[in-house]
Amino acid sequence: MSPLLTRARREPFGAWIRLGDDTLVALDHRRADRLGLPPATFPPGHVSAPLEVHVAVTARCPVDCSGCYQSASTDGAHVPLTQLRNTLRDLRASGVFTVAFGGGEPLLRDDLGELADEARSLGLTPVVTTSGYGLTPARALALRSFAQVNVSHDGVLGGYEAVRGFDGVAVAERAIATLRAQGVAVGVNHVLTRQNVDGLRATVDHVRSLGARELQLLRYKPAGRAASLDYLARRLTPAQCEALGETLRSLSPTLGEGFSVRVDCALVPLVSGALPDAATLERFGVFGCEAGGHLGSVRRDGSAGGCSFDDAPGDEGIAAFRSFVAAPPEPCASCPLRRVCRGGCKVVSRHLGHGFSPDPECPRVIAFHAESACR
Amino acid sequence: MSEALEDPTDGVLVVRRGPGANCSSIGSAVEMLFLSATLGTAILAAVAASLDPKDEPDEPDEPAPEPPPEAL
Repeated sequence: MSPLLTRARREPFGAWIRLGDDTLVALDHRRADRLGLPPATFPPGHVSAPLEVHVAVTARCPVDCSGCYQSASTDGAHVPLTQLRNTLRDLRASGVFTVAFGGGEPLLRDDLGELADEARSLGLTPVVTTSGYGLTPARALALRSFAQVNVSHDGVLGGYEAVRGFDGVAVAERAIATLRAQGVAVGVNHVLTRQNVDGLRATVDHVRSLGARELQLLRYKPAGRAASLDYLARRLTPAQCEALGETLRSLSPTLGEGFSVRVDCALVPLVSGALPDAATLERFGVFGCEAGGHLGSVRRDGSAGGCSFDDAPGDEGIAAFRSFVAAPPEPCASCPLRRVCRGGCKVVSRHLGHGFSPDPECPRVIAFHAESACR
Repeated sequence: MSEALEDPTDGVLVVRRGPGANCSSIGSAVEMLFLSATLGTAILAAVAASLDPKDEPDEPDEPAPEPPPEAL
């Protein structure tokens, strides 16, 4: 077996493997056999486990972000450690590669480093998102088992306050510096809204200068406290979506030398006009809505969901995500990017009253409905 | 000795750079969204090469050199 290969799981198509730098690679059977991976058989109708699972570890948070998708609060409860340990073991057994801890504010747990150690010992790649509140050098040192810690920072020039309702820039930047000083790989989570997207280039430069190795761009989603009428005043405008695709394309050649920008699954439809063909995107691991597919979540009560925003009881959400992707209506049914985009963000379509339907903010969906109205 | 592959990238179906560290949605690297064909091929080739078992030759191409006399 290649020394670069750190974990593998057989699949009906061949195998998923993880390399030492946490790159995931899908191989066909011939390649998997050449690596000496033991064969496996799969029952009819086999559904593969997610590659990545998001685990909520607490409902408690010291800050009160106006757009918190989990409606976390200062008196929220932590998830019991025993439950989380069982969850990690279950994820390991099912073949999951990456576990992302979220909250609430995960740093409020004294045992966060212990959880990361446990995930590592099981062969999982642990990562976490934090606001940075409560981070000290000692706490940062305890987080070294994490493959990466993302600190929320919604931009320069007032962008942070516009998104969260308070200015936490100093805390976020102190946390980034503290983590770096303790040798922890740091990324930044950046929620894009109508108010801060025009400062994206400045934010990219700033985040890079802080020493973060990655900027994760997130679509603003109408869940938790953000599921309000205010969402309509915060979401990106169609013109901003169009400009975002071109901005990302122009940034692309400057990335890759120790600094990367990532778009989240929900942004894929919004920038779809700038993207290449689906086959190329698929081959380089670009994921649209993978809820219930390559992505899963474990809620605070221990139940499984399709993604962190899936609040349907039991497995209803997972089933709904999968059925939609299997047979989406038009215009997704005939969209050339369907296999990658997978219909866009259902959190948005549900909030806007469309249920599980093509993402109503996707430019292709908007154009489709405009044409239908003209006919 | 392993069977050689005609195309070194053959059988490498997906390369996904990771891991990212967001807890609410799954991300994809922007540089992978807008790859040139040349760079894409280079990435696939590099990954494929890192996976290939190093084939042991059946016999050395040349006889091993004699050790220098002073080492005897």
